[in-house]
Amino acid sequence: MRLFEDVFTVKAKDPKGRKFERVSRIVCEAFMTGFELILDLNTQLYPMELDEQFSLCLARSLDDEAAPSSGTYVQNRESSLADSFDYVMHGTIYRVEEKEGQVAVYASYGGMLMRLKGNRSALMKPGLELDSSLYLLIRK
Amino acid sequence: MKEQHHVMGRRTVSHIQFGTMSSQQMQRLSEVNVYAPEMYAASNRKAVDFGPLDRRMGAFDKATPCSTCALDMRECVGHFGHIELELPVFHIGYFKATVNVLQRICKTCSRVLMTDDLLFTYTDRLLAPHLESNQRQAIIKEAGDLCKKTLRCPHCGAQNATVKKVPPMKIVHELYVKKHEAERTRLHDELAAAAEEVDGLRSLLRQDRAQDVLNPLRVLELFRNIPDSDCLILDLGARPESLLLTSIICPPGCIRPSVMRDASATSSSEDPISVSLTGLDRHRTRYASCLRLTCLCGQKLEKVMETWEQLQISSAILYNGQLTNLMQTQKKPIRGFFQRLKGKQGRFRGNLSGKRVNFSGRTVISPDPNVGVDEVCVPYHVCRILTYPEQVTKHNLEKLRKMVLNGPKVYPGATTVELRNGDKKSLAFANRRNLARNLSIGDKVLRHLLEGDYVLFNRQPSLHRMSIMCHKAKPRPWRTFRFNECVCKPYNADFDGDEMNLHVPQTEEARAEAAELMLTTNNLCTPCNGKPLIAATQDFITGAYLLTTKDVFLSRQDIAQLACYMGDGELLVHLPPPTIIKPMKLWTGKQVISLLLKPNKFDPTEIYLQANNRSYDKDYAKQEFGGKPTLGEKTLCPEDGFVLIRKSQLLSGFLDKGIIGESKSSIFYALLSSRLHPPLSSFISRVGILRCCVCGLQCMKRLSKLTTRFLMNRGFSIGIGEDGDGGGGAVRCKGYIQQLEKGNVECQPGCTAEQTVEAKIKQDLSAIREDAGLLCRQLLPNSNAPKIMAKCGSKGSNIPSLRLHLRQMIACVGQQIINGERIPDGFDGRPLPHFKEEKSREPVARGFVENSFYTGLTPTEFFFHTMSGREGLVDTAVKTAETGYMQRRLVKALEDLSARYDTTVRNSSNGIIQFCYGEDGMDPQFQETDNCPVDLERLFSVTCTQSKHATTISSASSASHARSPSTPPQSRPSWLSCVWCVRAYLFCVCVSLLPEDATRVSAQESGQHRRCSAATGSGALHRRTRDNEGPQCTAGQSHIHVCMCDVCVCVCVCQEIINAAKKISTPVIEAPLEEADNAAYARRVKGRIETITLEEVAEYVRIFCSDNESYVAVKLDLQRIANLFLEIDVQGVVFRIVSDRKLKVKPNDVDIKSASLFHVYPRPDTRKPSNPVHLLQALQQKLGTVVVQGLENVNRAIVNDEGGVHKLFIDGTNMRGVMSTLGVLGEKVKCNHVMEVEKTLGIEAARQVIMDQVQYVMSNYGISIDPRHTMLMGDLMTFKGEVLGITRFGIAKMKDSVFMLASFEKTIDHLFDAAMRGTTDPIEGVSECIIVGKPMKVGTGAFSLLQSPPPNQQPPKRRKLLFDVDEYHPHVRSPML
Repeated sequence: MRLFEDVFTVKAKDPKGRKFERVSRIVCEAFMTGFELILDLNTQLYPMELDEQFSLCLARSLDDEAAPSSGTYVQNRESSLADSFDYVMHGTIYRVEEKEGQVAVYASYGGMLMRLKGNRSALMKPGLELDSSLYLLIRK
Repeated sequence: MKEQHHVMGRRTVSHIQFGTMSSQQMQRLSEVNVYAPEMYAASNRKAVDFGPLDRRMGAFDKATPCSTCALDMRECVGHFGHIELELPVFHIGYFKATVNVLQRICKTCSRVLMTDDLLFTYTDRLLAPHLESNQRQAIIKEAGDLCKKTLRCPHCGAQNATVKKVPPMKIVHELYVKKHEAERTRLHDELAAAAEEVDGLRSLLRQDRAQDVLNPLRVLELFRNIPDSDCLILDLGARPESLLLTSIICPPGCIRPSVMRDASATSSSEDPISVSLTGLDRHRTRYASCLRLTCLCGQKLEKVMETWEQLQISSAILYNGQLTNLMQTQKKPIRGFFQRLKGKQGRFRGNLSGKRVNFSGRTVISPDPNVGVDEVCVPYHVCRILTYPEQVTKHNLEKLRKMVLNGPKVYPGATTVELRNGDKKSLAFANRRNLARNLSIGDKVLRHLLEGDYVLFNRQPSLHRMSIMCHKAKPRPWRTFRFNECVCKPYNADFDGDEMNLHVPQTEEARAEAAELMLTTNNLCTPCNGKPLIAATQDFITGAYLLTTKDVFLSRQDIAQLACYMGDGELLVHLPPPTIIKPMKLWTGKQVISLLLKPNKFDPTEIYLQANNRSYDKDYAKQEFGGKPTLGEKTLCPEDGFVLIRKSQLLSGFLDKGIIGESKSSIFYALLSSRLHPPLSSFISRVGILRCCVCGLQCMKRLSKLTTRFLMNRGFSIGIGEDGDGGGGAVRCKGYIQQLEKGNVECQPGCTAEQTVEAKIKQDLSAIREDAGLLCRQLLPNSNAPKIMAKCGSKGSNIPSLRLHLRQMIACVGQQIINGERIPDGFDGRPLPHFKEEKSREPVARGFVENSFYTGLTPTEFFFHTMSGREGLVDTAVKTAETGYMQRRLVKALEDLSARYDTTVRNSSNGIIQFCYGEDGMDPQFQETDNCPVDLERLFSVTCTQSKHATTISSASSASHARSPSTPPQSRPSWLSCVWCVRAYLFCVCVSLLPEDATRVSAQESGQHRRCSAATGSGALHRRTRDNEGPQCTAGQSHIHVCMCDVCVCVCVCQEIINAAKKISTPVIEAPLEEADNAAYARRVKGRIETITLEEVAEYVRIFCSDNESYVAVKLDLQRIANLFLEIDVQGVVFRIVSDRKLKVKPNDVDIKSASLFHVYPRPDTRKPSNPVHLLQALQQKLGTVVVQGLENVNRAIVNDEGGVHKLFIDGTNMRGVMSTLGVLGEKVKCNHVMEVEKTLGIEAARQVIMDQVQYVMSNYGISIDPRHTMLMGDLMTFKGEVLGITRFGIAKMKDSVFMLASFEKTIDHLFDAAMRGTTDPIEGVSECIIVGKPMKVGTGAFSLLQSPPPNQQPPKRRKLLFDVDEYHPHVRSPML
């Protein structure tokens, strides 16, 4: 079930200098909604350069209809959604903050962090609340 | 049923009465009159009858039994003998007391030198009920002083004079001196005839050499005549004549056995006591014969006196073998009775206070990360020797049978079987098969140590409570004790060859106590300040750090492997979904940690944690987002520096020392203080942290396994390559150094004020050091091993900006410091002859080492490095000794304090020290924050994050917080769902607000705060200084590294406070001012306080001589006085001069000429005519030093400007003067001198000062100590109503127990004092109980049954339990398994 979709442009890469060899932090802006995204990416696996564009999708699960993930690893899952993307991560939303009319959703993908900031109506919806698990899918 | 454990059997020592022994008592006790001066008969090498080795006194060797009781050496308890003396001698132990008594009585009529009325008053005062020993001593001293002053006896009118000791052991009554003219002339008249006859007598008389010698015989006679009624005031418990020896008791054989030198018993070596007894006998015989000869044949009396003196000396040597000045014949000191008792190896400290035990072992220790934190690996070899007596029951019969069959040599076996009838069968010799078959319920089997047995584990020095803890034994092969490295800290152990001790508790009761009170699990936090002491160290931290950086990605095989590492493959693990699903499935290192905290779905652990780690960038969030960063924004720290754990999932931040090490923000602490699920069920039990610690321990065990194994595979080592930094850094550092050197050379020529230059240089050099440290941090790659260690805190410097060790290895070693200064001159104007004198101020010449350990030190640099290294070594050595002694004193003073059931803290004699422990009755071990037992903020944030209605709660609670807590929050639809959260939170608030509740809760949990609380305070105190060795500085000490000397100051200051020193090194009075914002006002007040002599304000003090008059003219420098804001005028100065007693200037000697000028005329001394010029000169000199303004005992005052608020800091002790000075806010004056404050403001103020000062000193060195510890110390030092130092004098005033004082210091003095006074020791305190072997009344001994079970009662019949029916116990399967 897709929760959010947009195309982002990389505005900055590692704004505070490169701290890790395999992981870079990119700061992006959404094409349609203008949302702001901060995301840690495994750039060794999936290189991402400045000014590149990619489309991003947040989903509750990878199967279109199935229930959200149970929290444990299941082998041989038949996935459909991931097939159409190049880079897929799974994580948890650990914080939803509201500041100056904007909502920021914080998620951690095994320690790689994401912050998606945008207007309230688009981000305050079921599936994006605290402690729900989340899939992030990217393709260029 | 198991028999109840009777610790002492039926009889216990209830009290011990000290007293002197009269001659009759000795004879009654004695079996034999020892008079023969030989030990063995020359003919048959047998002990001489009536000799010092007479067998009637017990068995002296294995060959011959005791002839009194016919038992052999092992069995015979020994019997006394005695030596009868013809004439009495002084007892060396009571010699001082004898002199004291003589000083107080009339040497003619034996009455106390005091009128009957006075005597009656004093006796009455002494007989008052509930008199404390201190008061009693004061009265007796007062009476004694009065007696000493009385020279004429009020009873018989005889003249008395001072009584003095004269070496070697004579007492002299100085009656015939000039002072007592009448007596002197009487003597001269009496001896007039004799003087005619005897040569030299006249000249001796003329020189006043005549003395009234009080020989023992006379003294004995005097003492016999003292009436009983006078004895009380003389502070005697029994008749005074027993202070002299008329018989000497011979100790029994068992304390002075003869040791055969060879099997044939032809020669033996004797105990020194036997030897001196022989000597004594020899002297006795000689003088007895002398005496007889004198009486019968008229031999010269000198001979008798001589032998009498010899006897005196030899009897003294028997007691004190080290009277070297008395021993003419034998110069070598021997071990007399005194020496046997006193000192560290003596009877009291060596045998009575510290006893030897069975069932203990000692061997080398080694680390083992695979062992749990609460376990210890015990070698099989040890397990076979250390046994536990297990009672045979229905349930363990088969197990024990097998063990009995195995016997002592096969593990798991048993060594002995104790049958129910008391017979003991050693399995090494008995028929094991038989015994095993006949083993029945109720027997005891001394079986080998098994897995899971509780053992006590200890490492010396045992400075604090956690130096001995209980572990579960784990029998394993090889020869060392092994335990988890996490437990190193409390023992202060390392593995460079340390040995540790292991004890096996022998009863179920002891095991239960050990498991409940001493298990490592229950001692995770230090009572010093409540921080966890058992936590991950060194490699664990490194491993955890390396695993949790963002860079770590693991394949399925990898994470599965790691999951197996942490649980030995036995743990049920539910693998989380991979973080990266596409392009390939990868997990991250943080997921492994989440797995570690909660390995499977069934695990109940649920922890929440928010904390900064060491790399958290505080500025980032501020710059980036502005304002106060929210939680989410904090997590975005680019360094990955904010650790967030939610629902046992590590979401952001890497682990380092702060997160898994010993701090209150660590995961383990969170685990300790968080409850298992359901999270907020009961708040009562939340103070009962301990119950939850199992979880934390398992995590710690998993962590230690995981990280070490991970690190082993990854590899982590350090090589020479790691020390180089690829070039850049070192070169740039050199650049810095060179730059500074240039600058430095420039500032050299103008070195008028040397200190300024020196300070400047120091500042610059430390700047270099910091720059170098920073550079290292920036330039080194992340893979550099030393950098990794420094970053995560596993090893190396703690202060991030310094990075000491990194910097020393890579960039430059830095300035070497001795005594807080740069290297001092060792030669003429330079530290080493390698440097020219004019360049001796340069950094290199003063011990700045610009090379790094990598580049290598030059010879001079190396020399300087060793110099400061040596200083460190010496410092540690000195400090260990000093703090060790301080610790001993503290422990002795605090040992018997305990918190009672009525919340008071009392000592063993029920004297109240505090009405409520720490004023709130809380145990410092369980305090979550400094001022609150529960960390409300964290609890609140956790409550918020746990709840889905976080925002609602926060608004609701803030609303209720703002108004009164009782006002119900406004109704909202979601209110009901979160009401329990709010209520819980409010309950927490209540707990902290209502002391009764909190006390009750904590009292339930922590029960008794025993003396340990205080002793640990001192333990911590000790460790602080010990840890400060060289590079291994712990938190808070690394900055001391910069100025080592301050540490000495720290110990010194602490010592001053604890000793309650009368004079302290830096007395400072802090005086706030009435007009704090006025600098000029402050200067004026300063002028009033500081001592100013006439010299300082006078333009001149000159001598003027003319024909008719000569005088000293003094002119005041009014300009200067005005400049200094002094309030001095001529009148004032003159008044001071006139009122100065030493000067002896009368008002009319001074002639005031003008507002600034006056003349002082010398006054010729009528008695001693002297040169008027000298008089003038003396006057001139003295006038200059007259204090014209200021207070006494004030050295100087300094105005301190702190943001416009002016204060005075006064270096001096006159607190009273300062307080009463105009302009000073008297009620706010503070002083760091305890005794001065006591004198000025009283005891309560002194207590406050003690507490503040200790806390201040500690905090200066980065050591946090719970205020309850300092409070207790302050109270202990002041509870008697005067400030008592924790020294031998102070402790003697605090405690009354003779045994306690004797086991501390001055053993002999205390024992003899007690005997003389007839003191009773009630055996209540800790030391006394240990000495007599009785359970003490603290801790688990604090309570007992009011009615003890009647002896020989049959065990009650077993009753059938109500629910002990099988149908009530369906087999339940745990979901976890």
